[in-house]
Amino acid sequence: MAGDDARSGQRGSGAGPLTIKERRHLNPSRAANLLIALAVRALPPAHRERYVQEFYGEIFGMSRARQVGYCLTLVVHSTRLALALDERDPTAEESARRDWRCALRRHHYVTRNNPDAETKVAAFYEQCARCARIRDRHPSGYTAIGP
Amino acid sequence: MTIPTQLVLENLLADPSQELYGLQIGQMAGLPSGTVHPILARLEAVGWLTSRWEDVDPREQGRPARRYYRLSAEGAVAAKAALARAYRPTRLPGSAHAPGQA
Repeated sequence: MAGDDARSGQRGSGAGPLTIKERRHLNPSRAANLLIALAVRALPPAHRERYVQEFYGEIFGMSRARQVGYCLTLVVHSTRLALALDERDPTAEESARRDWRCALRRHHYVTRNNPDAETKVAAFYEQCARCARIRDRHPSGYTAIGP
Repeated sequence: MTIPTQLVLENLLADPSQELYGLQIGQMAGLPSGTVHPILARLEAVGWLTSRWEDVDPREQGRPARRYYRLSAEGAVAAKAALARAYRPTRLPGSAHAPGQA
């Protein structure tokens, strides 16, 4: 597959470690970081960390323009992924039973912690104690994630 | 079953023992990246797919680990049966319309 050399993160045999310039080229761009953060925000918190890592694994080695294009489609279809994950989320049924206050958007948010998260975006979230609706605690924390 | 799901399953069934990551599956099926992951999540939820992290040291490899997907044994059987039953519009030669469509 084209780009496999770049994906491997190494030059030819015995060529030594990558230079800073080469590493910068291979690392995700800021735009890609931002778009991945946006894409996973729609997902249930328990799945965010996994998909952040999965998306980083996939865009690695792409050109910056291709990274942005790839991540844009992830953002566009993130609701579909969230729905697919919700279907197997055991709390989904619980969230369907809505309190009347929640129907009026009067949620009772409590801060919860995702102990498996390694990034700030995925680590903390706020969840309604009544209907389990999730609101991010750090809405401006896009730049916090990334390898 | 949607056409994108059929395309994903067809590509995975080409070699059920092969492990592929999301980008590869999307490229083989000719689907945009964003549409592949929801399909994979659904198939994984029903047990047709299994996934695992690539067993590499990111520092050593100089790149993040990938998430690999493969068909489970029961998933391969079920996918074959489902594909055989699935409606698949095929464009007839010289026809602009697929059969069965209005």
